[in-house]
Amino acid sequence: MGEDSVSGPAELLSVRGAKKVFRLGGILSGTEIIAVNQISFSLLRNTPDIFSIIGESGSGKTTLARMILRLLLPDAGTIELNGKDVHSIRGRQAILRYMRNVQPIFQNPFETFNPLDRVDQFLNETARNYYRGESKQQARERVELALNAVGLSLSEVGGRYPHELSGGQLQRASIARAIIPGPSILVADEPVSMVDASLRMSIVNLFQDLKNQLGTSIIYITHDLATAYYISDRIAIIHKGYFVEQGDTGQILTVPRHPYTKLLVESALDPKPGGTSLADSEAVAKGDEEYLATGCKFAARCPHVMDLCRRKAPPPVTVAGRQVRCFLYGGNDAREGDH
Amino acid sequence: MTTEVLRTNALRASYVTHLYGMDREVRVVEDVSLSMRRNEVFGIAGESGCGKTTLLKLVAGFCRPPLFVQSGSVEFVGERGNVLSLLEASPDELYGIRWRQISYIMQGSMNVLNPVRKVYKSFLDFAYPHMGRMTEREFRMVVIDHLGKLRLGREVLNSFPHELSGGMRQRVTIGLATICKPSIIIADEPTTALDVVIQRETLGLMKRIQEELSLTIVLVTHDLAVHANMADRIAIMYAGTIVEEGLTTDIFEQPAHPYTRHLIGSLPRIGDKERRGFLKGAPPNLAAPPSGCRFHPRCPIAVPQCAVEVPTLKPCAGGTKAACFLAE
Repeated sequence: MGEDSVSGPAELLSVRGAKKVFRLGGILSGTEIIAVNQISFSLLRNTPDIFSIIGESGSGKTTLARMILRLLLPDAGTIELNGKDVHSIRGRQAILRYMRNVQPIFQNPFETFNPLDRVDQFLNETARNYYRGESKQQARERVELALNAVGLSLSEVGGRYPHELSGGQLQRASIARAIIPGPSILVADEPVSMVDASLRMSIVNLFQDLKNQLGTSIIYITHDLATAYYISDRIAIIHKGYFVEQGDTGQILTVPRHPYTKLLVESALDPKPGGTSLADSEAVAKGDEEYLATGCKFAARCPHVMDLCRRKAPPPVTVAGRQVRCFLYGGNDAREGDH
Repeated sequence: MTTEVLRTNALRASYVTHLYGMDREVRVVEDVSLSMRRNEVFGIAGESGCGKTTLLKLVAGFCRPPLFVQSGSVEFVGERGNVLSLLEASPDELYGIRWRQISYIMQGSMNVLNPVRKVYKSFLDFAYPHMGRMTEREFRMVVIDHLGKLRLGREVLNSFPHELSGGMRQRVTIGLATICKPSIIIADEPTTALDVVIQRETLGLMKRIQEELSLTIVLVTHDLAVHANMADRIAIMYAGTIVEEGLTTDIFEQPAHPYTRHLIGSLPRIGDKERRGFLKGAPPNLAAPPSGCRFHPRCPIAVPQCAVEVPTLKPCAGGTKAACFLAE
């Protein structure tokens, strides 16, 4: 853990009103896309948590992940780690400290590793980068420890190239790399979308073990509702940059409230013969044009759309122990402007 | 009465390479006999690297070095009962069958359309040569009519792929594969890595088209949740061999092979947080496959016999056929 994690607020990571704007097109005629808008959530220091973020491709999931990893800085709002705003982090030492606390796990294990380098070489390098001044032997011990935590050992992966390992071993090795610096948060962006169904379970089980044994909080970004239900404690549904529903995983996925969450839960396939109705319906999936809508971004395909939804973005309201951004549950009389 | 439309008989195939004087043989398809019937969705499930895609290539009559067929055959049964052996057919015969009788929906089908050609041009490139005697004007009418069935307007024809949403592109690719009214569609991981909403839309559309045109869909994916909802019959593949085969309901209710049991038992479901197990070890290297039953090194119930003898498919009490000595 970083040295500055000893004292400070109860919140490990606190994201408040984060916003990121991308500009498309020319200087004069360009359009703005707000990829992430008014997103707030926090992870507590003393209760490790698996926080799932569910959304379709192009919903802002990855932009949010990049902001948490400090690869992008938010245009508005704050992201604080141990009470320190990312904007105020300057200088190599401070950046290294931040990176040590927040580590990424990537989507495709085959692309994570340099095909020309041995896997253990890459892990050793990570250990020596984060623990300068330690001996080679100490670095090796750290690598061995990290590999053991993910169910591998140096004797298995030592001296081998990425193509000599299976996809499952590689994904484990890339998780081992992420835990070498002893992070308090892992950001896993679609870690299982490229792997087989049988392997998928071994990876998500591993996340659960890391949470329970190392006390690491995990931000699990995915579009797979079933595994999110399986491992996570809290969940947020992201749609075109907004968290449309967030709260307890079990409650949200079994009794969804926001129309978009309902659509997602209905679309998730039940692994039971004939478990999901596959009646052919009107196309409801939409492209990026939804980003340009004023008001609620889901209005164009919402079955309960009202006039108000097209004019004004719904503010978050608390319903049944969760936050929902939908006028069906109130929020209409909110005085303060939403933008 | 359902009849056969495609079958493989004891098919064995391998990739053979000669490199620096070293011969290497990777046996990817081992003694596979399958029979696909008219008007059904036939699912093939298995992890990556188990030979699913190679089997599909052979089923489509596509066999080029370094892939060689050792023995067995793939036979296509025409509507009048004429049998064509796909692995021995001449290029002209294959050309006559492709797209008209056997077409494909490719993996990552959202991105298979040519990005610099309008959708109509893609139809011209892919399907027009296979439509027989037909003027371009007539062809255009057929395409518009067909896309209408897929709930796509005629304005789609003049769009570039990037102007369409992901769901619309999926519909266009399904339209391309079905415009010649083939008897078989081969779908290789058609919805893998798609978002849940588009996935259900795509599967729903494939199912409706399959029922309307009475086609056979050979659906290959590792995702058993897709098979559960789409397939009429499933074959489970492990390391190049078929380990279990049967009706979807039987496979899900009473799986007989330990590998099938593992696959079904490990599926996550909303509403069920019970810890799922996973298989130890890695998929076998097909250049040096394990002796006997190829699953025995990872099998939780293996007995000494499994390492020596190769089990064959036999009928089990649950209604499926499984290749396991311990299945009953």
